[in-house]
Amino acid sequence: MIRDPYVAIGLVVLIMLIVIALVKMPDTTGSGEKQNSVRETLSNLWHNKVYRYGVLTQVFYVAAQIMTWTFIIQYADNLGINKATAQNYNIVAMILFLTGRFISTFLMKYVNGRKLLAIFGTGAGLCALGAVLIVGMPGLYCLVGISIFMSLMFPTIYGIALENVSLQDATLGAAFLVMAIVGGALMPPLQGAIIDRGTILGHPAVNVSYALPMLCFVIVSIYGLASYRRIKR
Amino acid sequence: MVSTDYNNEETREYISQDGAHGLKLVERQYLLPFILITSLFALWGFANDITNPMVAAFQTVMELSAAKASLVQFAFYGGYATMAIPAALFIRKFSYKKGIILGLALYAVGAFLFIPAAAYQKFSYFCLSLYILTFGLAFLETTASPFILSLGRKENATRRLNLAQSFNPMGSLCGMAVAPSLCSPTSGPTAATLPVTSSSLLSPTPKKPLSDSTIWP
Repeated sequence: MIRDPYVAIGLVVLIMLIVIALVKMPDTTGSGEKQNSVRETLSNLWHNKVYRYGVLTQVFYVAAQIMTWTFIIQYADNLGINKATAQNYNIVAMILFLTGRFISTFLMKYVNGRKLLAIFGTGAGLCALGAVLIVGMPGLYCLVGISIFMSLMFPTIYGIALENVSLQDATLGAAFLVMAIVGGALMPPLQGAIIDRGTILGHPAVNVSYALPMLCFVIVSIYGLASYRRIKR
Repeated sequence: MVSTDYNNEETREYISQDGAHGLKLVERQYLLPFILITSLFALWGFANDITNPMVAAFQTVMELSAAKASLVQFAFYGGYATMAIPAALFIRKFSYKKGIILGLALYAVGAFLFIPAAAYQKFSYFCLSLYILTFGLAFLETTASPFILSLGRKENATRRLNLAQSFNPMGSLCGMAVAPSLCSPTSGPTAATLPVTSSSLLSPTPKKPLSDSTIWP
């Protein structure tokens, strides 16, 4: 029955609600400090360069993530792989993504998050380049490999953007980072339009279309590097 | 006074060191809240990843056009767009805890609305349920990440968020594993009325720009 999983989720969510309501949570909204007005908060956020560019970078990251995963099926299809098998590549991508988050959490113990973002961004960009240029299984492997480098990006951009934002400005700051998800969702149809062209200059359009996420990863790397330079200065 | 003064020489220097070696990622006093919030990340990873096969099932059962099916995305992202800022204002006024509770409540309401949606087999009800469910997600999303960041030292906040968000893809993987069997034609009494094959569920209509997995906590 189509509703059953939702009813199950609804029940689990209710249980969590009760547990969280009963547990004492620290109040870290900075309510003890002098309260900023909404206008002051918006002004603080706007004048915070690392935050402002962080939101912009998050838009491009979310776009890249959706594009990378959505069109794996098309990419595999172009290599003559059927949909059911192609779904396995989606699952592998997700496993790499999960593994990557643990690896990056570990690495961040030794390497600054901003630097790591620049490094992983470069890795993701190179994988995307491989997916663009190589027609064949290695291209698909590159495409799946992007996920391991993507893993740290969302939480890391989020964290860097809010690093210099005060506790009481952080909630509205987070809201705009969440809105970035919506912005990112506007981009994938563009890739769909490229794929619909079939071939571009004799190269499969589905390959060419991965230039879009590649560009996004370049932006992510630049953000990592630029924000890292700021703290090094 | 919480140290948010970044022009402070000491703070700057501390952050500029590579990594946050030697700092405890989650201190004992914050351990329980950290675990609870982190489990929420897994919960919504799971929910997101069973949503896509569900959408595909609805699409097949009701023979929806692609344009109509794209309303699903509209509902999904529309929910985020509508609620992110109101959620932030709510949390500012009250607290992270209340924000989480309201988010979970909206989430549950959206989920339970699938009962009438399934009973009437109406696509618009389905979209409405999803829309309300994402109100909850927007609340949780706006709350949980900054809350995790604030649970401890600033120097390793980003790392702490990475750890917490690792549980999001874990939930997604569980969702991916469970979804085919949950909506396979043999799993319930509705098999006769839902002529969908599990393979069509596994591979949602291509080229629809809704990700197969929506992972962002």
